[in-house]
Amino acid sequence: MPEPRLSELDDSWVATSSAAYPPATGVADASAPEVSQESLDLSAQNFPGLDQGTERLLYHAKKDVAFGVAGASIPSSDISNVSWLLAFGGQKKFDPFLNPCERQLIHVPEEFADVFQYCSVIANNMLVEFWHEFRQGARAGNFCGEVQGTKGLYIKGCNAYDGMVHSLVRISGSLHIATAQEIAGRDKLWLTVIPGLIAQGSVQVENFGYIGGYVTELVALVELASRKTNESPSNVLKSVLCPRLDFPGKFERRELSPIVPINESQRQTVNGLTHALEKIQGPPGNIYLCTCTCINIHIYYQNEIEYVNETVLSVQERRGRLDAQLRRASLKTISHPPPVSLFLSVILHTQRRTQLAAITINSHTP
Amino acid sequence: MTCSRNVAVESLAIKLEKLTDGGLVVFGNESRVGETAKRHLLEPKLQRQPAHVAVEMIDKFSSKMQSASSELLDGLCARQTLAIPCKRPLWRRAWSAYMRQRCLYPGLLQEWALRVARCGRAQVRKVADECQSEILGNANIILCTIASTSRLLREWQEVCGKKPRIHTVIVDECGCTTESSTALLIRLNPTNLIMVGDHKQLPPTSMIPEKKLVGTGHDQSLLARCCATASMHILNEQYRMHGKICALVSYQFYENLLLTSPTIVDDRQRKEKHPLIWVSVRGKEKFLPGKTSPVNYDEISAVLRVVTSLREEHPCASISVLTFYKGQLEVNPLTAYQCAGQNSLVYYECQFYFLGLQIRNDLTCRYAFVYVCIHVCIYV
Repeated sequence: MPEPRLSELDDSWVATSSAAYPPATGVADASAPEVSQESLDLSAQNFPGLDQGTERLLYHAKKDVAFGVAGASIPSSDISNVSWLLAFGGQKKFDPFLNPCERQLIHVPEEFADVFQYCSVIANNMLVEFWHEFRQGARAGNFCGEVQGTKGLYIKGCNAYDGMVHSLVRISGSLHIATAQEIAGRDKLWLTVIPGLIAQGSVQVENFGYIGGYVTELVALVELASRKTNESPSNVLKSVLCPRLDFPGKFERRELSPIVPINESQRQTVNGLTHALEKIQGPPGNIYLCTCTCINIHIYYQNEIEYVNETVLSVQERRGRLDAQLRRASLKTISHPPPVSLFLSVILHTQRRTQLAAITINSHTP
Repeated sequence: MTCSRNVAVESLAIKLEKLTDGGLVVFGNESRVGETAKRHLLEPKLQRQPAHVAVEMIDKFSSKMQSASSELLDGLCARQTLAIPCKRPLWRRAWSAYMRQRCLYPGLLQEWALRVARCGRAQVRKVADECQSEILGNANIILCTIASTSRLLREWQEVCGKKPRIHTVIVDECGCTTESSTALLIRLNPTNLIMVGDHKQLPPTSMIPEKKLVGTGHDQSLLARCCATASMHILNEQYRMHGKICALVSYQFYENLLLTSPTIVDDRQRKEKHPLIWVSVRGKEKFLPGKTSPVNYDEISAVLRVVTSLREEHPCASISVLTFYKGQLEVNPLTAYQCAGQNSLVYYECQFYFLGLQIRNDLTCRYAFVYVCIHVCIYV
C-alpha cells in the first residue's frame, strides 16, 4: 500500500500494515507500524483539558508520526512494545549491560505518539550506544586480580583513587559490574562485583569503563515507561513528546526590572517565559550563563534585588527588602536544641566520674 | 539547574554563589566538582551549621564515654579473673558474686557510660538530620549535573522523607545533552523545563560512527529536536567574536540573526583590522602507507609559512592549528605550536587560529570528511 500524503490523511484512514516493533535483537523496521484508533485518541486519556482545535492538531501530529510522514521507520507505539524495556526494571537493571547484544538504531521521530514509544526508542538507541562503546573493548585498562570468595576480588596495579564503582569488568571471560570498592593499600583495590564470581585465584581483569550513566538513564526510562496508562502526563512531558505544541507553564507574570543590566534579547527572553518547555538558543559569545542567572533571579527573587554589572552579574552591597529577608531566613539555622545543653552537662559530669572510677579500679591491686 | 559537565556546574556556582547565600545547594561527587561548588555540597554546608558545632562536641564526648566504658569493663574483668583465689567452679561463682557486689558502683558507672555514649550517637544523628533537613528546606536553587539528579533524588528522599518539589529545571548546555538524559530530568517532575544551549554547536558525543548516525536523529539533542518544529527564544547579541567573523558565522549558520555588541565592534576593530584571512591552497590529498587518513603536504607548508611570519611578528601570541584529518595531525611539523584533532580544542581560547578546511574537489565539494556542517561552525 503506498504511503498516503499528509493532505490525504483523515480520521477514517487507519493503518493496517503490521510489523511489530522488534526490540532486543531488532533490525529497524522500515514499514509503517500498526496504529489503532484507540492509540490515536490522545486527548481522552493523556491530554485532558485540551480544547478541540489542539486535540485535532495533536491527533494529526500523531498520525503523521504513525504513518512515517515525519520520518522513516518509526516503531509502533503500542503499550506491549515497552514490555522488553519493563523487563529491565528493579534488580534486572544491569541485565542489558551484563549480556550486551547488537542492536540497530531506530530513527528518532520529531514527535512521539506517547510516552511508551518515546521510552522504547530512546532506550533502544541508548543501548546501541552502549554496544558500540562495549565493542571498542577494555579501554580503561587491564589488571591482575585475586579472587577471594564469590563476591569480590583484589585488583592490583591500578590507581586506587581513580574509582571503579559502576564500571563494567570482564573477569575470566564473564562480565561483571563493580558495585563497591575499598582502598586496600597502595595500587590495590578491593572490588565487590555482581553477579557472583565463579573463577577463583589469580585472574585477568579487563575494565570497560564507567557505565553508571547508562544504568541511571535506563532506570529513569524504565520508571517513565512504568507509569500507569491512565496517569496524565505533565505539561513538560507532553511538550517533550510533541514539541510542536506549546503547553502552558507556571511562571509569575512580571517584567524583569530595568536596572538588571542585560541586553535586549536577554530581557525579552526572560520576560517571555510562558510555556512548560522553553527553548533558548544561545549562539557563541552570548553569555547565556548570564541569562540562566537572570532566569533564576526572575523566578525566585522577583525584582527586588539591585545589581551591578561586573563581567556577568553580581549582587550589589545594598540589597532589597526581600533579599534581606531571604538572608535572614537562610541564616536561621536550628539553635542548640534544649536537650543538647542538658546532655552536655550530664556527659561532662559522667565522664569525670567514670575516669576517676577507672583510675581507682586499675590502680587497685588485690 | 543542571548541565552535562562539572565544569559548567562550577561556572554556574561561581555566579549563583553571589546571589544566594544559603539557598544554593550542590549535589555531586566531591572529588569531581570544582572548589566553589564543593563549598555548597550538603556535607560542607552541614559542617558550617552552628548546631553542628554542638553535634561535634556531643560526638567527641560520646567517643570518650565509649572508650571510658570499655576501659572500666576491662578493669573489672581483669580484677575478677586475676583475683580468683581458687579455680574450682563453686569458688569462682562465689568470688564473682562477691566482686560484683564490691564493685557495684564502677559496674553501674560502666553501664551508664555506655548508655550515654549510645544516646549521644543517637543525638548526633538526630541533630545532623535536622540540620540537613533545614538546609534542604531553605534551598531555593539546586545545582547538579544531569547524571547527579539520581543522587539528588535519593539524598533528598533520605533526609526529608519525600521527593523534592521542583518548580523549574534549567538545563545549561542543552545542545550537547543526549536525548536519553531527558528521562532523568522528567523524573524530577518539574512544572517548567527551560533548555538553554545551542544546537548549532557541539552535538551530543556518540561512539557510533558518524556515517551510521546520518539521518537517524540519534545524534541530535532534545533541544535540536524541539527547535526543528517549535519556536524558541534566540539570544542574538554576541560579545566574543570580531564583528567580521560574526558576520560570516551568522550568515552561514544563524540565518543572519547574530549581532555584535557595539562596544565589542569598536574594541575589536581597533585591535585587528583583518580578523579573517583566506589562504587558497591547491594541494592534493595523499595517503601514507598503512594509513587511512589523508595528508595534504601543500597545505602544511602554506600553514608553516604563515605561522612563521606570524610568530616573528607576535613572539608571545598563542597560536592554534586545527585540522579535521588525523593524518594531517600526525605529520604536521608545527610541533612548536598547538595542533589538535576534531573534538579536542573546543574549550581553548587562542589569539590566532588556523583552520584547514580542505574542501574536496569532487562533486560533493564538502568540507574534508565532515558530514555534519555544524562541526565547521564549532571551529569557526
